[in-house]
Amino acid sequence: MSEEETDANLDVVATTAHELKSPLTLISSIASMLKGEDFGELNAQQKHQLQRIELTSDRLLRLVKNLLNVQQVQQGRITARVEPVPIQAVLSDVVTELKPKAEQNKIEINLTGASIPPVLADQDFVHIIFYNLIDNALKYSPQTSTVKVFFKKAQHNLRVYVSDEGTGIRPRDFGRIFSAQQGGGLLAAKSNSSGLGLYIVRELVELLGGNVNVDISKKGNCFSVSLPTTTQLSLLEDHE
Amino acid sequence: MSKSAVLLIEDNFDLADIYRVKFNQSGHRLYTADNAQTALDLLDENEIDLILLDLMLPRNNGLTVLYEVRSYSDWRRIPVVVLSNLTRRDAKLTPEVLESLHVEDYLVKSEVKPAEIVQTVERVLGN
Repeated sequence: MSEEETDANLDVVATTAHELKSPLTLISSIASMLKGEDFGELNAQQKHQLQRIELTSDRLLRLVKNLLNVQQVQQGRITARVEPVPIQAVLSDVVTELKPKAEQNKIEINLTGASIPPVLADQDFVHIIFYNLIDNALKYSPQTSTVKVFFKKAQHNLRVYVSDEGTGIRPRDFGRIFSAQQGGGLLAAKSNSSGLGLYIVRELVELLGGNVNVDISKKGNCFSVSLPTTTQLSLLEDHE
Repeated sequence: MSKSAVLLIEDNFDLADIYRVKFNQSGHRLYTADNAQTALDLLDENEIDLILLDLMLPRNNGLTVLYEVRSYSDWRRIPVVVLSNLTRRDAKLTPEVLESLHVEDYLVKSEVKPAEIVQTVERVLGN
């Protein structure tokens, strides 16, 4: 396939993804209002089912957002706006957004850390990176387990860890977990459905000059992302 | 919070309808327009406290509509909250441009529920 044909295909994907946003937003909004009893009282079972509709439509919206991000990344249309980012606050927001999903499966998200320095990054990218990592952790976490988010400071970098207590990525899948092409067809995609989320994580982390690693054990996976801190900015300024 | 009059400039009738239910339940009046002329007519006929603005309208860019609204001295200072499925990055809107147009907040439609939109409007008007 030529580059032009690839770009044309990506444009079709992006247009379709964008068109899906409005109907999905409507479904999610109506479900949210029904669940909130804005149209009359409901019993517990009805609220529960509406919660499922809302979470599913929100998940589809997230998939649409990922598709659009992939399109921008693959066409080189995404650039980072680097500034000091209060990463602890961003992570706190991400955890709040994912809490309803976690609670559905009785999973706890445990965010720990104090006096965490800002990172030199693009705030939107940071949000997407850690949303995708924690969302991925939730996907592979058994019920009543804990997803841990914690930090390790180095002189000019901050490493952020997201660990789960899931079964662990299979060794044969290790090489392609960050790939947009999962390989193996739809059946394999279903059983190893990190989907596009981890691909976007890797691409955005690299655009920020950082790196992403994963450690796997029988007790779960631990992804970590290293990003430069503002002390690195001071270092560069001192050298000018 | 006293009752406010909000003008929603949005071309999706179904979404506008849902938002109207939520705003009415919260004690606010929501007027809706899907094009610039209707928006100007509604501004002329009513005391509007805040404008909720979609950026992607069928015949105009929402910002073009906003520039037109701002060209009338009576409406220069009505606060605006953008409510769009375009992110700020996609819309290529810098904080400076938003500030110059008195855009008080920017919400991505697919990421906020109706209750959050009402809360944002109340917060902006409360300020």
